[in-house]
Amino acid sequence: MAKGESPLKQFEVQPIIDINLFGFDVSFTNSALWMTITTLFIIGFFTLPFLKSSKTNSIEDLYPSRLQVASELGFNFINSLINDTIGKEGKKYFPLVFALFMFILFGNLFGMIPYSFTFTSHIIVTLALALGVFIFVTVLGFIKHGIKFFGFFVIPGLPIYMLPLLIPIEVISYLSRPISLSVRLFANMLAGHTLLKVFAGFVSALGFFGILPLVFIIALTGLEILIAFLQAYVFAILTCLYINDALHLH
Amino acid sequence: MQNKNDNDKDDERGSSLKGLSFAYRISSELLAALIVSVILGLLVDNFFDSRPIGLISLIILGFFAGLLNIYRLIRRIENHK
Repeated sequence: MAKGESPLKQFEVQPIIDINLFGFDVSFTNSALWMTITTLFIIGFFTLPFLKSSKTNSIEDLYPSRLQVASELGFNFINSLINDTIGKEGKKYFPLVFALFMFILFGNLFGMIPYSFTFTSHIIVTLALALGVFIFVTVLGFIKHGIKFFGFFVIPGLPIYMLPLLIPIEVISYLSRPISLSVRLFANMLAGHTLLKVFAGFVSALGFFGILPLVFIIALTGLEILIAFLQAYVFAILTCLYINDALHLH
Repeated sequence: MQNKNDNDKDDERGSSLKGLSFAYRISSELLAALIVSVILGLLVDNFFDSRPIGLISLIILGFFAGLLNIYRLIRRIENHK
């Protein structure tokens, strides 16, 4: 980090190719670039191991390659997550949860590469993902239950005079879902990366004693990778729980 | 004996990991409910021209909604045990 550079500079969105479409600024930015890289990487990661199918019928083809085992590990992880939270009927929603989990996970992990850009550290990206889940779950609830879905806001077995107080609380609680989903991911990424940059600034400022923050940064990088995984996991598990709520109401 | 110790260590690591994600979730639930209620309160005040009343009452409701979210979260985790 150059001297006097703000630790927040890493979050700046810079256009790479300027595109102006019908008066809208739809430039290809560094954020879009890293989203494209992430998507291409995920597609490659989950298709390449299965492409080189057996032309030669040697015994080695029977063993899965290392890449195949790695991608199947990801598949099984989400598969068991869905089985645990939604059950058998959750199979239909596997592609949604899997795509969300992988996109966030690799977005977070690619953000850990120096000089890269963490698109999950922008509230607009995480809010768009969370709102997508929120709208999907609400529409799903209405498709499955029709008008009865409003019964979701009424706790069963409650005296009738409590309803005017509790229905607004339930509605706020329901509306807060996408906010809590997006703020959690965004805040974790923003805080972690800012902290890394701030301590990186100490390294050059302290001279010889800069070795201490340097050691701290190494530990912090490990923690950041853990959090990258954890937040993707929390996003996926909450998506599963919300789908489960929409399917079964209470 | 050695095995048992290893298991204990693994359990400890797992539970501290869970605790971390748990803490993140609780704080964000409480914050999110408040953010939503403030936005709703400002909208209500704009609509009915009742400057502080809608905001105040919805913030109180939002606080309870946050507590309700946390209560649900804890109950769900207790059920899993």
